[in-house]
Amino acid sequence: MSGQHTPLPYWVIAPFLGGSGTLWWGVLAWGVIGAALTAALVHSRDRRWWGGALAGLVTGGAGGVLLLAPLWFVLMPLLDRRCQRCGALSVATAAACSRCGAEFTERGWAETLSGLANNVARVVITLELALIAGGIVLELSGKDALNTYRVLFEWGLGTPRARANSLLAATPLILTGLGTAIAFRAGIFNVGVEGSLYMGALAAAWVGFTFTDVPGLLLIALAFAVAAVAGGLWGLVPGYLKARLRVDEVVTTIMLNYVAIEFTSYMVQSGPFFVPGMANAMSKTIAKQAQLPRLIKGSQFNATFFLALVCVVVVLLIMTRTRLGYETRLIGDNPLFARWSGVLVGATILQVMFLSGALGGLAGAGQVLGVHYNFTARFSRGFGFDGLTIALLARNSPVGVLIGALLFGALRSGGTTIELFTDVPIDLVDVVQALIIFFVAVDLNLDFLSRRRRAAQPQEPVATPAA
Amino acid sequence: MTLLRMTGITKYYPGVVANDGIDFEVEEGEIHALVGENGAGKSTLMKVLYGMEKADAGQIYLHDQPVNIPNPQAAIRLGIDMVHQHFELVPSMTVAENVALGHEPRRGLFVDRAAMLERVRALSEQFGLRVDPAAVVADLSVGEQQRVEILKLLYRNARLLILDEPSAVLTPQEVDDLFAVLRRLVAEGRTAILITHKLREVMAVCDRATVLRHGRVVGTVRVAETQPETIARMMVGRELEVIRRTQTQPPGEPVLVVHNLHVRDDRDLPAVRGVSFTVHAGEIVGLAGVEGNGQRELVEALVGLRAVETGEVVLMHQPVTEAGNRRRRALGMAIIPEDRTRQGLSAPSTLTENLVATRYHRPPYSRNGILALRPMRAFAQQAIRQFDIRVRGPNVRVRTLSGGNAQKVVVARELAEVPRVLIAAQPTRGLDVGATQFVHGELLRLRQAGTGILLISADLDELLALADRLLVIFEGQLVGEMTPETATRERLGLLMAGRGVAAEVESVSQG
Repeated sequence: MSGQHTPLPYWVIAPFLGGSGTLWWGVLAWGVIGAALTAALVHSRDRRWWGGALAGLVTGGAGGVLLLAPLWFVLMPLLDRRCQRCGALSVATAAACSRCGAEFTERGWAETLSGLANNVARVVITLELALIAGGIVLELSGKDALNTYRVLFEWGLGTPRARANSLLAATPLILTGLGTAIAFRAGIFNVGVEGSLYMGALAAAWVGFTFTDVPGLLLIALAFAVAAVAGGLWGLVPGYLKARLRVDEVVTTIMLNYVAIEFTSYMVQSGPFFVPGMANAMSKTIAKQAQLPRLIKGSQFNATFFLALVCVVVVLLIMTRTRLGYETRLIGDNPLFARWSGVLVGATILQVMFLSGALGGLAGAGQVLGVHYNFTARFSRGFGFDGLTIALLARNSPVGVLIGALLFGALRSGGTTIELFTDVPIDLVDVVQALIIFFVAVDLNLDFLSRRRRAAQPQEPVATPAA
Repeated sequence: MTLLRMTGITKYYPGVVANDGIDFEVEEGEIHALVGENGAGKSTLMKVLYGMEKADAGQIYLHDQPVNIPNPQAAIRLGIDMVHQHFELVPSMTVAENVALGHEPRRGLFVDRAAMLERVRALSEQFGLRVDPAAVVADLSVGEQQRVEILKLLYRNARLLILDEPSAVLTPQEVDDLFAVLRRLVAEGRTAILITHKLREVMAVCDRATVLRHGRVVGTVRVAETQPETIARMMVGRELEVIRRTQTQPPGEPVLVVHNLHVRDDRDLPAVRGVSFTVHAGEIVGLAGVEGNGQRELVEALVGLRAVETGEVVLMHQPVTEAGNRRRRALGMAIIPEDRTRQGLSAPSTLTENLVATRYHRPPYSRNGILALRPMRAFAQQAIRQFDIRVRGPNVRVRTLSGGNAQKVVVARELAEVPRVLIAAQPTRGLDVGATQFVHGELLRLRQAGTGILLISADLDELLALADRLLVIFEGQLVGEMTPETATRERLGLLMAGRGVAAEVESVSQG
């Protein structure tokens, strides 16, 4: 090893260091975009550009200073790595000692930290860019973009009731997001969580209005369990076709969604669950004791949300601590390798698809037991498909799904009020969501590029000469 | 006279000095070997010369004039051109179309096909590159495709040709043809740089050799005045003991018996056609053959990843013809797959995850479906020590490892417990001398310990040094069986090319 260089001060080289360099730029972008947004918001209120510019500078600068300064001047020096061999200090992101060249054997804190911060920054920046692009669309169509956004945020997050409604809207999205993410992680492009959601919802409603003698908690647990099994079995259909007959799951899951939606509609419109004299296509109301209580006045917010939180933890544990999770990650990362190592790939696909569908089933049951108290035909507003977007945005990380679902929930819940207070159609929310998907796609591509660049580099420091 | 001079070439990658003040000179009209282990900096130096990478320091002179090469187009304009390891040809187009691609002779708006064919034919005759300009590339053998690549360079008027490991995909006879072409090139006033780590090739065809190690020049030697051992020592920086099978040991019980095996390939064509052989405990059976003669399908059938059409596979006295990979592994089979990066490893996963992939499902690595992370980590640390894997720790991603180190991960996983049967497919392909030696040593250690080994290799030196018995496969059939003592490179080469089949089959049926 050679090339002794005078190390430049840390804050100079920070932007150019691998992983944490990305973080630096991420935070910078965050600050700049934050500044621009604030400037625009202030401008819309008092129509004075200098005021907006000033406020923007302050917030953007604050973002930069608050986030960057501690990171680079306080935190990072604390994380300096001491070489085991010669005792010299190296910067936190270094892979090898700057004096004697000995490689560090443990993953540094800086790597973990910057990885985490990178993910947060990525989600936030994606959302910011989508909002800006949506704003441009609004302005071009002659609407007041900033006022629209103000309404959106106020009714998404402004009051306790608004926040409860946002959590309520997020609840099914957490579950469908998890269900999609777990399949994606195994490399299975399961688009069929929506179908599982319908099957689960119908099953939960059936339990709810059939076993009316069963006491409350038991009935609720039973309804959720049956819904999970129903959703899981529905997921097993494309899972079996893929694992045993190598049928492409994208096609089957899309088509089975229609089957599930039409089948459940038939069941309540003219089938066995048809209720005579009911104007709308819905089933009987579920037993009183099966109805989850509303926890916040003026909102339908209910305990399903906490079930969803538990599911986040459970999925996280499954993915990191169980044999199934390991198999899932392995066939997602390299199915050929998994096969050559003796992993039972088909069995893993079946288990993953069952789990994926079961989570969709739980999402459906939550809507029945906590919101509608019956099964209504075509009740889902694309929960399964929102879950797909969220899983992509979160890169299949359970915690990421939670964050993404909360953001989407706020957007959805705020969006419903837009039509009441502005002349903007609710479709705006769909536009913003579409833009988020768009920016997620762009981001994935950028990621692909940087991965290629990394792959092009020689992979490892030259081995130390043999003694 | 000096054609090319590179001085003080230095190239940093994050955390690595790939080239450290390299001085490199090539004379006009010579074949110059650039040798060194993987990661020594050969490819980086040539990427700098070809304009694919920008050096952090240093200067390139062509005919003593300083030149600036910011991209491959500039290199090509200066007459510097490269044949890459992976060919860049359009399979559906003809030889002439591939050669002229982007520089077609034109008549008005249209490509002048007659002129194009004529020019390519003239070039191929001038340099002795035998290939039909009108043939479609998809129909050509690998050796012929390589000739098309070289023609492409000559068509673009390359004066200095860089060939990156050109012999890796060729049969011994094709390598000889390539050497003839190289000599012809030089006779016609061209110059060639040959990137390689095979000493035999350096000795056979090169005028001078520059040896790199750890990003620096160890020295430049005249091949005619140098012993191969000297160059080997320069490459690895220490004496190399040639590893080979020492004493013969009586074969033990049969551990792998294959009887009249027929297997079809992905296009549903017969790939393995009636193969029978037996591997005994404590024996290395070498399977020689040019790639694409059914070895891949045979291996996949043996490890339980490809359906057998007819025939029988018996592993440790158990019929396993229908059994999956996990069952065969449970009976004591280990596998070093041919494609290290895709079949042998999962690049995005960590070292630990890769090392436990064949044992995670049994105690102590997991119980009742729950992973035991601590034993997994301990196993990884133990493997890192035992097999000398040079990494920062068990949590690094395997994608960051070099070829030799990555193969050590595969070997560590498969050989951590002594298997009863080992299927080793091209276990040293692309590895440098040191890593190859390591793998060979491990194979012999296992043989000693009583493992029955099937070694599939395209490297005759490897087979001759290690195998107790040699089988030759050609178009899915075993066309010869011999001991290393009775085998010669020539005889093997002919069998591998499908010549002399009749005579060998006779001798097999008699034996």
